Amino acid sequence: MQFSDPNADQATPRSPADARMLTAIKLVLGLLLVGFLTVGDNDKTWPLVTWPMFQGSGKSAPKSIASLHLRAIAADGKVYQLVAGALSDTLPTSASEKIVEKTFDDDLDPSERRDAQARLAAMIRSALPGVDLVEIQAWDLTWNVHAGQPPTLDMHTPTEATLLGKFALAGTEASS
Amino acid sequence: MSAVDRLNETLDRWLTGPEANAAGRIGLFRIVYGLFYLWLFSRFDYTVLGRTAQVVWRPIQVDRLLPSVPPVAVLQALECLLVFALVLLIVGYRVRLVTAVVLLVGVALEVFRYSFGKVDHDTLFMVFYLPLFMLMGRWGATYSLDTVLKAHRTGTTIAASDSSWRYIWPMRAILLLLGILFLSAAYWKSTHGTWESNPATLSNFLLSTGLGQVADGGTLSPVIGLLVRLPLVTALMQAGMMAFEALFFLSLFNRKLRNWFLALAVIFHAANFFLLQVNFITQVSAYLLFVDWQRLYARWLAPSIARVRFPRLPLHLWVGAVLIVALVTAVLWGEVPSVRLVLTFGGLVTADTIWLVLLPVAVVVWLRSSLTLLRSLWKRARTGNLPAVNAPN
Repeated sequence: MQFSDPNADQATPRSPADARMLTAIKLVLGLLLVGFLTVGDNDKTWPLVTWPMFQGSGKSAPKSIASLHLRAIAADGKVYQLVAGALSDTLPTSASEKIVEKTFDDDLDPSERRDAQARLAAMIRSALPGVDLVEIQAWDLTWNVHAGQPPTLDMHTPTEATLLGKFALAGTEASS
Repeated sequence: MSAVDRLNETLDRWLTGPEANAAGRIGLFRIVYGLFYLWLFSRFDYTVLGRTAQVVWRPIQVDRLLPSVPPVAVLQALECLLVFALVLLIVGYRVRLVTAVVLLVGVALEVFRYSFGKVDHDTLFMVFYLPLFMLMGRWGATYSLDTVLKAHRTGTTIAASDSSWRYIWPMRAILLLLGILFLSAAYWKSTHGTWESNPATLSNFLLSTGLGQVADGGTLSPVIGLLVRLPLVTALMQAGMMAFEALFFLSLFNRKLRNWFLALAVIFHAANFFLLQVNFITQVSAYLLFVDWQRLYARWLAPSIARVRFPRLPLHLWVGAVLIVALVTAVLWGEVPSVRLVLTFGGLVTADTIWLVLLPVAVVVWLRSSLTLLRSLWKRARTGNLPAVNAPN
């Protein structure tokens, strides 16, 4: 492959302003390149990030699958099952899951807990408009993967079901 | 001449090569970009972030000094400002200023969205790189209200067919960044994962994702069910995917390769969406920059637009009307759902359904590019010359 530019003769003549512009463009590109090399796979430096997505995925065949679910219980006894990761279209999936996990974190002080519960309840209410909810439960569910062609999960019987926590909905108003 | 000088000279030549219809296509891209951004933005409600508990606030580097989640009113104001700026960007009024607003407000909203423990990488080009380079570029020089006002003042206009690099260099800068970032994706997968060493990695990943969807109440995609039973096929797909990411930078050296890799990139993202539910639709905003919108416009739209009789109003009235439309859209954005529904054609054209259109278009473009590339290679092999940098189509 020949790395010369066949259009070089046709290139627009460059004025001093063009030269300054080119220097600015190359400076920005150079700084970005140095930035990429510096940040590595750290994504907390967004928007200066590289693309390390899914680098560690698929190392082995899944033996079990876990999912964080919410059970919203209505006044008429009806139970609504919600996937924690799908609570909001705006928040990334695992951010929604982290919000749910944190709400039921034992380390929260009472006022933080009340606030977190009220805000989670508001998110669930907006996902279930018109439903008179009385209790919210968070469940960590795990299913073993059954060998097969293709492998499957027995959805009706999770291998493990851990209640992360629950709260009643009366008086769960956000503090701010 | 030292190696650094030679590299500098090569980079200058590469950045300043002409491109057909440069002025017209970059102006039309501005309109396409603005509409695309508004359409994608319509699915988000950033005020949700302000209603999230303080204890889950995990600021990233940019906003680490902020003590808490911004209040709902601030997020609402930023949303309105972004919509206002995007409408003005589409019309082309005060383009440099509104590009700066789109860049700053868009980045701020995304930084807040990523401050809850998870950073996504799909919005990088739409929110950051495109407005950053366009801020330094000239995408307001054609098809904009600014041009009409300038023509009225000075009598000067810019031909849409102008092929100068001064209009099109952002496209080359974006291509360079795409090459680097795709290469980084291959690098991280090779060094921190088993994507290079274990041919079953993709199969394992497909199965985990597919069963994860089952655990979330869905069903296992029949395509995943089939693929995990075909280890040779998934191993080939995995090798192809790694090769695509590692070799994307070759698109920098030849326009035919560029078209081929860009079409393949859309197919790659479509496959990720249909198989893994990983939606990189925002990334398509960067690929749209490489379409010659001027050629499409001249062929399909210009004759119809030439027949339209615009009312002969004083220019300041046009400016006033544009500002009112932008303001009303911005104010109604969060309050009246029908404003957003218009952009998605009543919920029909969503970030998910659009792939049903994009995939077949990308496949056709890729097949055509493959044929062009093969023909070119065959011709060059016969004459003994290999393809050159920036070889014209």
